[in-house]
Amino acid sequence: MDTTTKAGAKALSLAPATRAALVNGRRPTSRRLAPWLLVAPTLLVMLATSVFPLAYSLVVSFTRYELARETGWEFAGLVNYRDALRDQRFLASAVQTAQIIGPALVTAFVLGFALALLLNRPFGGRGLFVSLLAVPIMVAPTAGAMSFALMLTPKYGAVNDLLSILVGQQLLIDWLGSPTLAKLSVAVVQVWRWAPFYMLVLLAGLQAIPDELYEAGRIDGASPLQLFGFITLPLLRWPALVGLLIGFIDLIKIFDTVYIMTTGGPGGSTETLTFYTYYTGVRFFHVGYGAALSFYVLATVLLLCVLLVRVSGQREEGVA
Amino acid sequence: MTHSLWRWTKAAGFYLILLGVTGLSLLPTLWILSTSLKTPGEYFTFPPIWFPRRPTLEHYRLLFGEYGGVQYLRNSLIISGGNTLLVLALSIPAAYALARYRVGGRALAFWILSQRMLPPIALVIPLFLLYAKLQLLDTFPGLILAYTIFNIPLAVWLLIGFFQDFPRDIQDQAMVDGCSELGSVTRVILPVIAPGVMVVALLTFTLCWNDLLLALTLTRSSTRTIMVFFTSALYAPTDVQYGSASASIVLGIVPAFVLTICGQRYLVRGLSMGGVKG
Repeated sequence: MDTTTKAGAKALSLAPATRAALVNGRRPTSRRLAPWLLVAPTLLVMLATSVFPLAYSLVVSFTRYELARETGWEFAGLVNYRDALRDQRFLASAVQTAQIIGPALVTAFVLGFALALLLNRPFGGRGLFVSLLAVPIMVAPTAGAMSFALMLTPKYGAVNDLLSILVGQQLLIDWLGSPTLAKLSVAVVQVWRWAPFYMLVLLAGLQAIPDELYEAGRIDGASPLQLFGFITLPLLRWPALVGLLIGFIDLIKIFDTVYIMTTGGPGGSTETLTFYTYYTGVRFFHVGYGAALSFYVLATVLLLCVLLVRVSGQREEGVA
Repeated sequence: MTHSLWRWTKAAGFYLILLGVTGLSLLPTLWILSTSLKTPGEYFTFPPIWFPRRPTLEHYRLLFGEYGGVQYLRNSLIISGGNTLLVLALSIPAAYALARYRVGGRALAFWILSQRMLPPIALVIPLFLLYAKLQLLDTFPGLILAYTIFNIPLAVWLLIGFFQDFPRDIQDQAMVDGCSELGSVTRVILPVIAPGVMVVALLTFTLCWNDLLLALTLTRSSTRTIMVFFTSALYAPTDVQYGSASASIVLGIVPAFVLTICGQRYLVRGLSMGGVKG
């Protein structure tokens, strides 16, 4: 409570708040507390739904707690965390997550960039095209994965039919049948969803570049390629980097697509971190162990977030 | 003459590429729409037929009738709608206090934002255990509450931006003219930033509507959402119900289209959490 009031007082010493205090200067104490009352419900809800469950989970992760057996809360120390590092399936799921999202992210970025460059000019129907191209971002991942699952069925799907027409002979590829192709299929769904995101982000970045820079470059005799290399690319560096990190942070949690298209198969080859942790903790009731696994995932995401903050911080300094 | 021909060819090529990419991008959605209108005989044809010859609404009738699709849609609506209202009720005052009075400084605002990045799986396991203890599994209040974890940070973050963008002098003027502070917010600021609030509401609703992991873990029979229903519809034990599954997916996608059309301008900002200036 004491720290709360102190922080409140500190907040009030800032200029805009002082102004407000001057406008309504009659009841200083309630004025000082009122803003905290506005935030309090949100903080309480977050405490209940996020902070407490996380702390609870941390405690569980140090026990052998199993829901299926009456194990109770037997303290196990770091055993779960140690076991996780020897769990071949868990380690494989980490590798597989990287194998799926790494290429997917790079491809999505390149495609999105190409689209952004293509759209960064005035032409008829531009708004319509941008809106239509942005649709995959908002389609539920579940629905997107289901659509792809249907399109990839060997005999009745659209993908083999399209490829057959292009190649000129009947193809019956079992897209979800082999480990490599299944990973590729899951990755393609991510490209489909993330390329439009990068298109929007980079298009916004491109439009923020003032035309004068290009004019000045042209007057100095720069070729289109030089304009691109010395003006466009450097100015897109920060939006690109931040966008890539956001994509990485989001994709590392990949679950829906895998759950629907392959349920981790064939032979566990598309199991991702979240997928394996979900099955361990929720489906097979190894809650103690599952909680430990989830903290490994959390730590990875946290690391990426720190990186993101560093990068954004650097950008702000660079601009100022 | 040749010059204009060249220009014409270039423009045609440009639109051709654009149409091709747009077509590929929309193909999965259109394929589902087409499948949902085909008869089983048509979607089990090899090689596949792209457009239904005799479009039928049979699958939608089955979905709403025998498969009880209305119930899942209703559940999704209750959970997403309830969560949106709760999130707005909590975030609007909080964002106002954070923007105007800098409650807790940058640290608090940043901490709230950081919750958005939490991997859902880290919360799914403890929520599953706690909800089982508190008998919140498979209840609407439980689910509505669970989604606040990820939606409050997003809503607060976007709303802070809207409140900060609102000119301070106009609010001061309203208060000098005798408006209370509450009045200045409800009668001056909120009407102006209403489009922004609308986008926040739509984003919250869609993120909630689209979720699978939490719904899969925390719902059972009585609160099962349309997203969880999808997964069972496609792999129905008796028969592969492509048609009904497609019909349910079409219904599940509708909110996304509404959102994309309504909030395209704010989409980048919303999705990148203000990390990218747009």
